[in-house]
Amino acid sequence: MLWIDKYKPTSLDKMDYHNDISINLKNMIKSGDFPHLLVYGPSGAGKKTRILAVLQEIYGPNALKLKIDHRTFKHPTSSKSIQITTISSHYHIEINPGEAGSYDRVVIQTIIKEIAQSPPIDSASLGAFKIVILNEVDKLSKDAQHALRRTMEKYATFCRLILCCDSTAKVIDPIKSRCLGIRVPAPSQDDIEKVLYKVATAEKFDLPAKLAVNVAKQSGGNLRYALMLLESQKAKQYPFQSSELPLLDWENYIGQIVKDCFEEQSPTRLSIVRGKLYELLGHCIPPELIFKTLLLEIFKKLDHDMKFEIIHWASYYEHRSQIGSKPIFHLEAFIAKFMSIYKKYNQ
Amino acid sequence: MLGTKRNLNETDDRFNDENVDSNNNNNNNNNSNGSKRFKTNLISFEKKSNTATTSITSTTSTPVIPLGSQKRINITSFSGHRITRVIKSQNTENISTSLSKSNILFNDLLKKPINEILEEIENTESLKLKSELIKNSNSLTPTKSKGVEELAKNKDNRLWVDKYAPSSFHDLLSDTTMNLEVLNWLELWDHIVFGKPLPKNLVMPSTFGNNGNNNNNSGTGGYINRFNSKFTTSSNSNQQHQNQGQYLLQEDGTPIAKIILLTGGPGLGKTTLAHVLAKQANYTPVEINASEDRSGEAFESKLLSAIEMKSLFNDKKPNCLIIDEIDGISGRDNGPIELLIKLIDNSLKIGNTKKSTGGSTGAKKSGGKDGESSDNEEEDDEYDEEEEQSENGSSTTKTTKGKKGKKKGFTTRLLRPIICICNDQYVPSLRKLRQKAMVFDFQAPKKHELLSRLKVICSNEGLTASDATLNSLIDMTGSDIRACINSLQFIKSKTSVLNSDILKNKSNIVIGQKDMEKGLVEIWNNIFKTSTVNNKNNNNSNSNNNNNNSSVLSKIPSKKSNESSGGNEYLNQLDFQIGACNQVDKLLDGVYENFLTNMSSDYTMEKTMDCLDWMVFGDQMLNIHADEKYRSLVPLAVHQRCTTYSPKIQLPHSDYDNFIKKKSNTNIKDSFYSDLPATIYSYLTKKCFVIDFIYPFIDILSLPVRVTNVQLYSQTEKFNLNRLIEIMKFYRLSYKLEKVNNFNKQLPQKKLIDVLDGDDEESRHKKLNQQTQDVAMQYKLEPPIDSLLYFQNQDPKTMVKHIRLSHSQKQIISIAVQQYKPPQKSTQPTVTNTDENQKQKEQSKKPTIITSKEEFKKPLVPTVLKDFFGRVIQTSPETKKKTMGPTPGPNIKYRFQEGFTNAVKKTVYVKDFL
Repeated sequence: MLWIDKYKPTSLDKMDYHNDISINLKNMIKSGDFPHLLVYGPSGAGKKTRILAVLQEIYGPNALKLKIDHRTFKHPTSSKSIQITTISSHYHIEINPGEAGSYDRVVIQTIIKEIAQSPPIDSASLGAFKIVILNEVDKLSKDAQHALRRTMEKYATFCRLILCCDSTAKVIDPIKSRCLGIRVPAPSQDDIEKVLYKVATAEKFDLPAKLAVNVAKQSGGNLRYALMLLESQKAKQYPFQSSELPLLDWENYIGQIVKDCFEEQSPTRLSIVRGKLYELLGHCIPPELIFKTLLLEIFKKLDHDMKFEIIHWASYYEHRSQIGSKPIFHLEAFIAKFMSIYKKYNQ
Repeated sequence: MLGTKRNLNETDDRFNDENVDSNNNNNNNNNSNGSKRFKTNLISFEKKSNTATTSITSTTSTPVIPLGSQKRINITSFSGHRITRVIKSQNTENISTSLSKSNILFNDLLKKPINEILEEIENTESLKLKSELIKNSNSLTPTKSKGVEELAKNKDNRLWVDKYAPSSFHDLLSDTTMNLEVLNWLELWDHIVFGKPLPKNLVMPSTFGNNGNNNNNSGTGGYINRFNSKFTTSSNSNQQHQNQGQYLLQEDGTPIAKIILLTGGPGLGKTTLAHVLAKQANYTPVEINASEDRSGEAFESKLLSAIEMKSLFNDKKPNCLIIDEIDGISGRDNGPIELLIKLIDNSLKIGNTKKSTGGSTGAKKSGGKDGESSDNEEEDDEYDEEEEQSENGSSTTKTTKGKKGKKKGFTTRLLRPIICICNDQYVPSLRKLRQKAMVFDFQAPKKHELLSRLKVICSNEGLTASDATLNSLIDMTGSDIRACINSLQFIKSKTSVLNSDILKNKSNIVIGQKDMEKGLVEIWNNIFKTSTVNNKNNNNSNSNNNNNNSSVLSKIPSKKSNESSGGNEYLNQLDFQIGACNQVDKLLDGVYENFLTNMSSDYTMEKTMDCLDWMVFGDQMLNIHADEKYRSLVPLAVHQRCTTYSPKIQLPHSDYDNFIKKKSNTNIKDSFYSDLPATIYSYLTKKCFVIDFIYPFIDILSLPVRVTNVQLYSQTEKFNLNRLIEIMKFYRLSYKLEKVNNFNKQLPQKKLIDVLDGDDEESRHKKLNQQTQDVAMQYKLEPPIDSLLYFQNQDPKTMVKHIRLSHSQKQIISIAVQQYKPPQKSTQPTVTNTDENQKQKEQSKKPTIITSKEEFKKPLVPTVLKDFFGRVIQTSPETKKKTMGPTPGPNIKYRFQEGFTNAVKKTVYVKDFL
């Protein structure tokens, strides 16, 4: 097992950081009932870990006996069949409605209805409801979100929803208001280092302080990445010689794009950049992340004066790419804008 | 010798017409024709009738066009008439004279006794007089013109389009050469339908037939295609054509091309041509409109009935099937077209396998029968021949015994001409048919011909219009005859004077410009091409450029524009073209892909930025407004910023490439996820997987193991290897040995060399490269998630360096993974007794299949360790022995066969078997 799996805490008591959240959650569970939850926070902060810990807290260790189902259901009106993967225990079911693409609304309605129609088998002993975990709620279409709104109220007696997403920006307000929001912020650098040392002692190897700091820094508050990085370093070079860490491949690639942009500003260069942007998108890197990384990379080499303008345009084009459907246009438009501004500034 | 029976009536009428208004002002037409044509013959007709004596003294004529079966001459009189006459060769005449001197007058020279002809003429003349009387009584005396015969009989009741539809071959506006070719094709059927003697020189020799039989589809298809290209391209190379196309018939007398396909834009007169020619060739045109009868069965019944039967009422002429709008039969239900193709194939096969005994092969029975109706007398002889033929015919489907054995299954031979009509011959559903059919591509009619026709209509309907106005109308409609006439009628309903103002003034006129579908490439070209007037206004560049670019403008149908508004004019045209294009997505893709390369100079990047802003805008509009009103502005905006004189256009592909790449990557990802344990699945979202999981994960997987015997590993090395194996097992990964062809293999190896910086390693990998070349096998991660790592066009210096395992390292890991399998696979253990001899003996007693339940209940193995899922965990052989040792009774071998069974399960104890 990878360290991220091996050292994943399974109960709220064992959490390494954000203890206040753990205490709050525990209290909430003790009270017997709780509203729908909306857990949000950056990637790798420990949202899912906490959600599963809550499940375990409510239903006991059996809640973590998971099984995977690949289910197909019929679209009610058209003849299309939809495939989706569900992960479930006796007490809960977890789905990622985004998998169904534009049919997410159907998936949500069918599954929740199916689960919520019958009361839990063992209602006396454990919580009087089942739990539905919805992943990546922010990826849901507006249709699906509105459908969810009604469903949430209608089936509230037997069914609690735990929604999980990176950012609530794309979750519609009615849903936010129906849920208790729980923010799981990224762990601080110290938190991450602490976890790293803990793993190092458990795995019985020496972790140089500098490496720990570097890993924590580079992870940017993503504990999963931090642990993976450490483990890959251990596999690569142990005993550790240098504390230099490789960037992620795509980050590095974006760095190269930015370098291209600084070297020359011309339509021909832009067409080279276009090829690279396509390459990134082809690797399933989300466009908003490309925007963000591009901006950060550009900032590294940019004069202070221009930063405001660039950041304005970055957000401008990112916003438009959310509305549109072809991210490549928007990414390239941003690059062109940057080239143009940079060129003017240099003259 | 001139004159065929069929044409005679019409020519008579025609000449009479001419007589009536011989002084009509049709010199215009004549001049334009006369320039090209030269006087060849002086042909004089003399004809006696009760009413009038006509004589034409001189005609201009086109050169002889020898096509298909007969030589024809195209005659144009000074007044603009076109007449086509078949020239009978001297040879056939001689033969026929020698054969039957008594019949010559009736059969060969005129085909019909002269008194019959005279009778007919009389009849038609009287009819004509009657109709004129009616006209006069209505006090409507339009100037009658030739070419349009049945004018104004019941005025205003019909659409002009119907009213002025050509009723004879000579009224057709489409290209004469092509008309003739179609007619010739129709006449190729004469032998089979009317039972006329077979023109021998056209029959495909048996050698060719055999070839065609061997590879039926490709052979004949190719032939026909070659044939087609001739038709569409050459109208001049007549001589060549004759050589090429001399084998137009199969041995059984059916034309090789069973079907013709008329294609071309709407309103060019395809349907009219088909109907007119069918009538001309003495058929009853039966139209199946594919847009009505789309379903397979309806179509089939109609088709077969049309081919096999004939109308009782309509002059007893045989049918000629016209399938209109065949491209309307689309995609999902391709039954009708399949049916057609089957029919064609079938008749081709029959035609080729048939052996010809005599010079003239027998027509099929029904063909002969139909021939009866046409007053040809020689059929009876042919019947006899045909009956012999049908015995000899090797085909299984054809079983015509006697005259009355009318048997037709679906497997019938095609014995009637079929004309298919479509607008777009490249519709996918027509692909197969296109290969089999002879294709005629309709071009827009010649302008002057259309113009003179419009003028005739105008004068008949009392609409005054100048040539220039009519010309611009023709331009606006893109030479769509139907649209022109409809527009005229529409205008007539408003005013009786058509001037250019009505056409130009857009607010007044409702005549839309016809949406012309330009090819995407052409539109792209126009977008990126600098327009002339822009050029004049902005750059004042030299005349040379202007000359070059004026061709752009002339390509696009344009109203006359003055210089100042020229730029707008070009934009308008561009806008119009884009609006007419129905693939806006593709259009935008193309614009996006090409604008950077065609950006002439953009130092400040302002123009590029603007273009991209417009693209962004267009993309936004896609989701906000469903219609494409706004998006179609994008190309115009790009056009204003980015044009060159000679645009380089590439077909857009990168978007699609990207889509494919993304899809393949997603598939890899999904296959990795597909059998991940549930716990991992829950924690690791797919998004995270790509962003921050996969890269370090691959590093962890590529543990640089030492290439020696695993036994020699140190403690830590063993530990690390074990851990790696565990991880791989946990994530269901393995190495698979795959055969790689040299080309593919070289690439990753080269990459590998690029990646590794050290010289030693590099040389090592070179060696490895050679080594693997010999082996030609490579270990690949399964699923190949490591391929998600590679980005193209990376700068090798700043690239992230990953350790790539060598072949031998992978081998070690792979073997270790495989060796690790048995303990994992303990789920289906074969618990066997150690004693081999005993085993042999027990073999007979042993039940082959025992379900797992029995196994658990079996008293002999009291302790079966089970894991959580209820699967048996294998215990080491020693413990087995221990447990087995003390058990009394005979040794039993049993085997648990894993798998699923639907059989009814019943508890059976081992003792039952003993």
